[in-house]
Amino acid sequence: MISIWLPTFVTDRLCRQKAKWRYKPLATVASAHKVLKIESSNLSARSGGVYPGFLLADAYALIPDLKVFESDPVADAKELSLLADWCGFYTPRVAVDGIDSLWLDISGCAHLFGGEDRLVNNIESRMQRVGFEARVGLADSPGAAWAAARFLQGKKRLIAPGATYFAMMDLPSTALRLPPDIIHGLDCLGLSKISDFLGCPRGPLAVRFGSIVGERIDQALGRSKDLISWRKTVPCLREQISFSEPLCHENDIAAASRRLIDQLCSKLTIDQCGVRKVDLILYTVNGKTCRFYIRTKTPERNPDHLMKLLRENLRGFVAEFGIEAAVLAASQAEPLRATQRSMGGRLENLHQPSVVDSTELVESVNHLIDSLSNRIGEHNVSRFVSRESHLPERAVYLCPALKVPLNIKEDEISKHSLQRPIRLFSYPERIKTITSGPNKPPTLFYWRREEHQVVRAEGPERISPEWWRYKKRSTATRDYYHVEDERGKRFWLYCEKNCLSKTPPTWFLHGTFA
Amino acid sequence: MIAPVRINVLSLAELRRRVESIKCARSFDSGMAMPIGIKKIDDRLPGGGLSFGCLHEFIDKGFDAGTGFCTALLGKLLAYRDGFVLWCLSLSSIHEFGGLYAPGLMAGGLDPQRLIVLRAAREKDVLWAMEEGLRCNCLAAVLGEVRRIDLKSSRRLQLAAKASGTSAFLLRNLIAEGDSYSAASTTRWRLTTAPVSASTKQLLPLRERWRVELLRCRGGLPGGEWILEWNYEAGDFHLVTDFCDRSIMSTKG
Repeated sequence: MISIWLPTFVTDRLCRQKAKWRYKPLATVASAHKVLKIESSNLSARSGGVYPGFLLADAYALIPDLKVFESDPVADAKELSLLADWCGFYTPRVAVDGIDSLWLDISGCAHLFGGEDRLVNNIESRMQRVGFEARVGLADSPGAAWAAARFLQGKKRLIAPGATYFAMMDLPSTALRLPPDIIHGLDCLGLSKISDFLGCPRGPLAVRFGSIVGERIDQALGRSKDLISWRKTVPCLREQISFSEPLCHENDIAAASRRLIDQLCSKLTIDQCGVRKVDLILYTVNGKTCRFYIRTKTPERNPDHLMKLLRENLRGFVAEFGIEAAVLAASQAEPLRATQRSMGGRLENLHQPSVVDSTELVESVNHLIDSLSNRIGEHNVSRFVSRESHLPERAVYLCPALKVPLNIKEDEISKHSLQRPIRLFSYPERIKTITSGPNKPPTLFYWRREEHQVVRAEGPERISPEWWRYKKRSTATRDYYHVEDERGKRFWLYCEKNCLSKTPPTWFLHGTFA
Repeated sequence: MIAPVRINVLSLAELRRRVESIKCARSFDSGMAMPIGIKKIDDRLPGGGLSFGCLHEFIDKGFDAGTGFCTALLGKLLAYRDGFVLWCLSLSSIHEFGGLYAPGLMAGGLDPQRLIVLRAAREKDVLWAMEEGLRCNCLAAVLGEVRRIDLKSSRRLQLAAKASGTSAFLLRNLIAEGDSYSAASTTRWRLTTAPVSASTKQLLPLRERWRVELLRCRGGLPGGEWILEWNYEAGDFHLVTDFCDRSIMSTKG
């Protein structure tokens, strides 16, 4: 487990915007109880004596040319989460810890970077390069790594396996991630080092400070688990590639992704699996990540098809300063048995449907849905699915084609006994009408500033509201009329009436017939 | 392109067929077209119906008659071909004319289960999706609703349709009469809703009734004009009036 502590994260973030601020005293302020207080300061300001918690006026007295910004916790959190994504280069399990720290679970990852020692150096130097001062601690448990990052330097910050107990002994009680009032209480008792109370009976400590002290000790020593919310679930399969020179060109990135896809697909073939969702994460030189994802309707391990989908997404991608690493992660995989393809592979005679092999037809429909969904958007490529409802706009809805099986049961959308319009407006449009009396179809109506004279009408068809769907019982019923105007255009109008209130009925146009 | 002729001696019928295919950019055999079901219309079309693997253009101001007529044609086409129908709409078309409604399509003869509906923000994406659909061999037909299309993109669609044998339908709403008809389509139809004439006091129920004009037809006889009705029960067209042949009109009144 690794803990990365960024002691001057906030000011480093500001320095990244302008390089010349780096060596000037810099601080951020926030107003607390109507006074402006220093929230964070960089190394140069700290050497001048300005530390977080100072009043702004005092800080100016110490450093007259102090550059001050208002603190922006939202932007800080955003930047930290971006940085966490970027650390996905080391391990898929990354978590944000507080406002200036990250957790990395590096179990099984260290050997990829040449050992723990070199991994820690790599993280520190890469962080330095993108402009963040970083302290890294490595230990068996998250708690010990947290302490090592903050209180140990040099070789000591890598706590060897099994050496946690002795390493923690010498550290002050602040290394236990305890709230400030408990630390103050421990100090008052003279228990300033962990070794002072590590061997003590837990009972008296728990009576005085609650169970938290014991819990933190157990967590640091790895006797109990820490609850860490990892940023995302671990993908089942992952391929990674690093480049000695940053890649900038779209075609080069595509070629690299093709290699990753080939590697992934050969692994999938061994596992008898197919992917439903694939993420391509590109790590840029300037500490950002770019994420592309593709989704497929059915489990897929055909490299050509996956590459076609990914290539479409990569089109027009501009890597500002270049890509230094790429990771391809299969975030959703399902079992996929090997299938026998028909001989010939291609469809011979297209005009005779009997020749078309049905499994191949299904496969190519799925491929088409994949490529359309990936370019136009998952929610814009859809199929009709019916739902039990009286309301016409709810009775049928469009469901993303990626989620609907190709063969829906035959009689799901049944032929309606009553006529239904062929085009329906998602929001019924208000119209002005002239009617000859109540419960009668209109004789004239205005829709979109055009006058329509009703020649013939059919109706009414009364549709009551679905009261069980609303908390507040709605009483407006709809009377639908199928009308034809003098030019032969047919419309579906309805009159909304509220039985309980005396308000006059309102008319809407809901759809048009063919 | 037609492959170079290897055999020197060809029968006259074969030669005629080749000349015809060069003239019409594809061969019109009887198996290559879908009969509409009205003999008077089918006789004017090459191959006796709407040919597969071609671009057919339907012009309609309001998209009501056009949607209904295309739905009926697609429904008939699915009886001949396997696979799905891809219907591409642009968002502007949905806002202006409403989205597709499955029970209405069902009544119009098209099974909504075999439909993939695509909503694209721009017309450029509609054309891209149509071409993508036409290049794949799994669809029976592709329909796109577009307002503007230039000769180049319509030619691309025509070529893609020809290569895969998938029919392409283009539903266009040309507002003004003088709008360009520049699409490289095999057939072009104009559709309008037709009112019931005053003399025939047809009572309820209200029925779909379209005035269908065949404006252009490569390898066939353009210029026909008919009034068709959709018969829900039979799921077929019904000829009401033929403007080319006055005798039917007089018998029908």
